[in-house]
Amino acid sequence: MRLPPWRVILAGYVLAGIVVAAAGADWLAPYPFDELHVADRLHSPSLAYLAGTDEYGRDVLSRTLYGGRLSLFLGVAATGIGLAAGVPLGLLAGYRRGLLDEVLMRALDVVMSFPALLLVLLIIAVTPPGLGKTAVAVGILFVAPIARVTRSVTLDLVTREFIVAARARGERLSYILRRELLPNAWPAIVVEGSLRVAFAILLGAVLSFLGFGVQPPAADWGLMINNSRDFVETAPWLALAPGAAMSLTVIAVSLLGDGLREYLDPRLAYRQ
Amino acid sequence: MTPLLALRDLTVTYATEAGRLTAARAVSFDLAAGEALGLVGESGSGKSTIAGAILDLLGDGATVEGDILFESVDLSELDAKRRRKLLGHRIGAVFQDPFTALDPAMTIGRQIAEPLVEHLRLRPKSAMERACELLADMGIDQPRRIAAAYPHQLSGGMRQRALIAAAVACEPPLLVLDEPTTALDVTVEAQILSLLAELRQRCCSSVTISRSCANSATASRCSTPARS
Repeated sequence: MRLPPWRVILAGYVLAGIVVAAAGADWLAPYPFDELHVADRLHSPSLAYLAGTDEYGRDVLSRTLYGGRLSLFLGVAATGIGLAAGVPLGLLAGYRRGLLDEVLMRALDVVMSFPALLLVLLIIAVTPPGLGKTAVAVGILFVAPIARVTRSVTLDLVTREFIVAARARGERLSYILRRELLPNAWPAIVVEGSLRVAFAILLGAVLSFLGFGVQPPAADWGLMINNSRDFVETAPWLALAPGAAMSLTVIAVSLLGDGLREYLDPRLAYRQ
Repeated sequence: MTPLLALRDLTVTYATEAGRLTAARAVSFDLAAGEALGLVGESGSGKSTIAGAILDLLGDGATVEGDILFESVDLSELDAKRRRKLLGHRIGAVFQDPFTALDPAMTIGRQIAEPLVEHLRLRPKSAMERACELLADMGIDQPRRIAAAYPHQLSGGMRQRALIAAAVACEPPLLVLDEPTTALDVTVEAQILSLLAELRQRCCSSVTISRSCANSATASRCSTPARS
């Protein structure tokens, strides 16, 4: 077995580190995320508060660690839901064409013609707020673009002779979709998926800002960054920790996705 | 004796923007068991359309009229599932371009083993063993190494051998060869042709489609669809 490229290993470690830090927030965080230190409000980063404190004197580092749980969960769960439904739909529509394709794609057109935020709000508004609900709503929203991307790759693949050859071998539909189309469409799906993780975290931030996602005093990264707007000039460190965490996560996920694509693609040359 | 494959007034038309286009008109032939038929014709004469009709690969744009009788069963009357079960199991097919007819994301061995798993219900492991034997039969040295390779690691001739191995894996009585050597250079072509001739001796009947008579030299009978 060949080793994955170093970028993948590095990205994997970074991502694992972020996940462990978020999961172990109970032990790692120096303070509870909602503990107020009124005397030290808007304290700049120091030994006692490594990333500074916010306007209520809450430790930014602790809040970032705890917020990671919410943000990571949202990113992974929403993307997972989107992939689980979008990929099969896209493969089927692209392979079968005809009426199914037409109906499905027009339905997705309708979904995509609504602003993303409006649609998520619509889904959330029907039910009480909660992180799981938000993840499902964002996930449903992701089905459309993921199915689109999968379908367009599939459309190109079905004209290739190896798919025709698979049909001439009498392969069943599920085999052609899973074993012939999916592995060849995988590179595009991985790239789309890693972008979606980042997008979900950002969308979660907007929802929290509007009061639909995470409920205060808890905060995910997006909400922390949004809240820091008012203090950009006086306390710029407020955005620093959550911003860095978010950027690192997004970069690591994209690197991992991109590297995995190369690693999984047998045509690219660093095997043997 | 009833023929293995019989075409009766096979007419295939495609729906195009310029109206209906007749690709094959009233084609009839019989193929007895053990016989090799060559269909020779220029580009656009409907050779591949005939192969596509036999293999049910023409898709929604094409209308197939007339009868295709395989082992005295009219294929057009079979439902999709039963027809699919014939393909790869009782009818093997080899296409013209070995560079595109193999799945780039799957090892050679698995592609040959797959019809064995699907049609003969072999366990994946024994199917893989059989795939290696088949590769060896096709005159490939180190079949295990080749079975573990991906298509891009092989030459055109090797790939075509692998495709032939996949086509004959279930020992089908009928092989449909659609220009099996068009994409290959002459020396490799000669090797593949002799391999096909050898297979024909051993087991099956074949319909070979080709643009040149030389390629069909191994056929026991030739037929030329005229361009209409």
